Amino acid sequence: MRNPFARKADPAEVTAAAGSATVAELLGGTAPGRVQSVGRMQVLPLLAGDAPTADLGDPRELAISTDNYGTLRFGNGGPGVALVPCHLAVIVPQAAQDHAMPRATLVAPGTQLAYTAAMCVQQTQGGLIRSGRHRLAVLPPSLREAASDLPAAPGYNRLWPAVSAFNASSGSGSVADLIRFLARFATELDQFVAEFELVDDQIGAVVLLDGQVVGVERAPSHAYWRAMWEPLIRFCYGAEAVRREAAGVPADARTRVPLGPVSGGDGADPLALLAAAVRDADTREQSLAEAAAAEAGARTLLVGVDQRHEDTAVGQVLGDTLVGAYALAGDTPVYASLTARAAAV
Amino acid sequence: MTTTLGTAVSATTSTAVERVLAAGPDSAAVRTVAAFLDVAAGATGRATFYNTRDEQLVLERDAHTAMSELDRALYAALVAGPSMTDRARQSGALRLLSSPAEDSALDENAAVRRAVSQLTVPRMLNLYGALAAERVNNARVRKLILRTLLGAPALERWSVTYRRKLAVALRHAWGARMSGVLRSVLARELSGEPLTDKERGILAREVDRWTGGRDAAVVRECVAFLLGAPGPYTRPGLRAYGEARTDLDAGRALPYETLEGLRGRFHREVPSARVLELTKARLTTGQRLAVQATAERAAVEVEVDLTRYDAVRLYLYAFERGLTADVADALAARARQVGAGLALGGRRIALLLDGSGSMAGSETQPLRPIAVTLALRDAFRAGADVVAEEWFGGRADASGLVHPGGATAPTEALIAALSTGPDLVVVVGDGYENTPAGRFAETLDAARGLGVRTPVVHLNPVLAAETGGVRALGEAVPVAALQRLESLELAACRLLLEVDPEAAAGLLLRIAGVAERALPETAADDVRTTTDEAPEEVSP
Repeated sequence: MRNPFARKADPAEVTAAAGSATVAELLGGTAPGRVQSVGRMQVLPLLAGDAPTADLGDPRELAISTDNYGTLRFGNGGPGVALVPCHLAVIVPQAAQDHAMPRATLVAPGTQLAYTAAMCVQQTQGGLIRSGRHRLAVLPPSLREAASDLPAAPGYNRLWPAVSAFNASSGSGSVADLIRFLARFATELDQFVAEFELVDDQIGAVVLLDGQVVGVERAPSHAYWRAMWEPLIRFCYGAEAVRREAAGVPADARTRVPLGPVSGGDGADPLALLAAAVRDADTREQSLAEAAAAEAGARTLLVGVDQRHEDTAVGQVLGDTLVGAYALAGDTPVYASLTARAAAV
Repeated sequence: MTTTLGTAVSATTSTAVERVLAAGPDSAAVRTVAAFLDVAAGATGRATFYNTRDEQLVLERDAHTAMSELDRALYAALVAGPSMTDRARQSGALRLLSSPAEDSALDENAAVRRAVSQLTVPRMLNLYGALAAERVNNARVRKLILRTLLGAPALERWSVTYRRKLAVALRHAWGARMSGVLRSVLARELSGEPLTDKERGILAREVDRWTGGRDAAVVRECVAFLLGAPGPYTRPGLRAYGEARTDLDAGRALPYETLEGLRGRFHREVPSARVLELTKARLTTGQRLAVQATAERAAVEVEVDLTRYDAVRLYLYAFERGLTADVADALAARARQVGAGLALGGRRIALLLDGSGSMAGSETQPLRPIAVTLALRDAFRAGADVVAEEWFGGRADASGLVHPGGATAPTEALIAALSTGPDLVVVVGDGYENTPAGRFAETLDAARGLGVRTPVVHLNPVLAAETGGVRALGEAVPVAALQRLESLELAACRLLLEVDPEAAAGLLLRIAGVAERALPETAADDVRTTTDEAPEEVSP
């Protein structure tokens, strides 16, 4: 079997779009768990099993600050390289301008990284973020798409048009201040965190909204997944679900299967009949979710390597339907954070 | 039981209960009572897995407000009742004292005094601190504070244990000016200076009249200490407090936390284990359990009588230290006590127990929901004929503890439970369902269609602020909040409000203290045995 991630003999050959891979290849080794469905959202857990993992730190342990508008500084006090997740947003209660990342990046152990291509997501707030461990968030899907399509170059205000459009689409005004949306829908976002639970051995998830895959997430380790689950479900996918509700987007239950009518009779044990009906409905719902995930898994993406630290590499992922980032340990994918383009859903 | 508030109170409360419940089970009045019982039984004032602390406090405040506005007399009776939780008593007393009493046959002041008299000392002082913070200062408040503090037999011990909180309460009652006058007069008295008639009059009016017949000289000395007078002091506890600043061992008569505080300020070179060694004989019941790990590390043996703790606390201890044979025995004894009060003898009960990931609780109260679930399971096992015990989620270890994990999939468990032919299915869980959401209700509805009539009720150890109460598994499943087993009576009343209002009325009267209680006294004693536990914050 080909390995699209096999390292080039000459590092100079590594470019931003070095090859192609499928989503399934990025998720290699993981297996789907039992689907969780609440409202218009479904989460298909990805279980690690024997899948490769890597210790790329705990993003909650990073010391994060802004040096100036557009520069996020990450301090890695840990003993190993740390992965800053793709489209990370730093939302702080301080009177400071919240920022986000357009890509994923690596921070060498015991070092600080000043990432100068970060983006402001709070147009109306001034001030710099003081260094510390801050609550992590991940941008909503439409902002992730916009961030991925923009060059990773300095320009702190370059995401403002997308933030403005996102807010407007949820009735939160047209100011490019993501906090206005988050504050307005705080209760609803909490609800999303509440509804979905981590399961044993979970290392990622395929997220569906209205029956379509909106996100594919695979963490490098169980600990990393536990750290990123709340930021992803609350600020990214939960935010999109809430936005759709606010925008009046009709819910689509194509991958949901309600319990059908159960009739007794013929002396059959009614509870046995009921159990069979429940099993049937659950199995069909699982199948529909897995089928949607498999369809997404077959999609081909452009993958490149933007940065290396020893044996670890991180790069951007671009596709017709999904965008994001991935990471390699050696030649093996251990991280993927992909979100669907709006046109694809 | 014969209420201490008198027969007039009984009649008033009975009338109030009749009036409230007459509106019918779907009325706003009944929903208000239900919401109040939910927060009374389930509120902790802390964050949950799902909600922030602020959200929880708003939920709690709104429920108290609505209940007091619905029927203030009934509210006062409930708050003062023997089954009420300490937190609800504390919040209720604060609310009642914050606004003038209504004209009513119920002596509201007596109700407040009764509620406060049942509070633990930290909770009582938190209540007084909240009154000070919210500037609630009226004659009722002043009398209450001065009577309960200056008339307390343990004032000397309280003075060194809760020095700051007592000072805040007394300064609030007397006001800054009078507090200053008292400090000055008492300082002169302690130094042996003669007092004028006017000064003696002040002490008699402001201090001595509230001592309830106790030695006024002792009370005056404690007040001087609390108000910051320089001394010298003659009472052993007060003297030890001063001497311990230079000689830690001289403070051996002080409570553990007081001496530990002094060590931290004045004797940083002395290890904490020394304080444990000096005070181990005087540790409170709550402290004995809490310091076990510290004591073990310091090689200090602190005896602990496990039979004095409630089951939830014991399970939390077991999660931390292991489910030893001693703990298991204590849990079994507790289960027998609580189970006997369930009055479910002969009833075949099927239990559906939630062990999913969210039952791990919040950062501030880790594992509490699963501890409540395990304790309830034990009580049902002891007090009823449990014919089925179905867990959904969770992982049991070799000792029998269930560790939360996994998704919430109660439907298969429901069918399995119904298949055993129980008289009642009791679900214990947080009510969040995701495999998929709504399947439980769909399945129960289908079961009803197939002729299955078994009642299904839900006890929920987690308040959900976003629902305005507790999260239900479906409209057809009555649900009640339950944070500790002592609240089982509140939870039962909450459930009966939906399915049997007549029975609920009787239970509501019991909760309000005008009828015989269902639970054995030992259950309520659990609260008192942990008198000196770290206090929770009072709601605004």
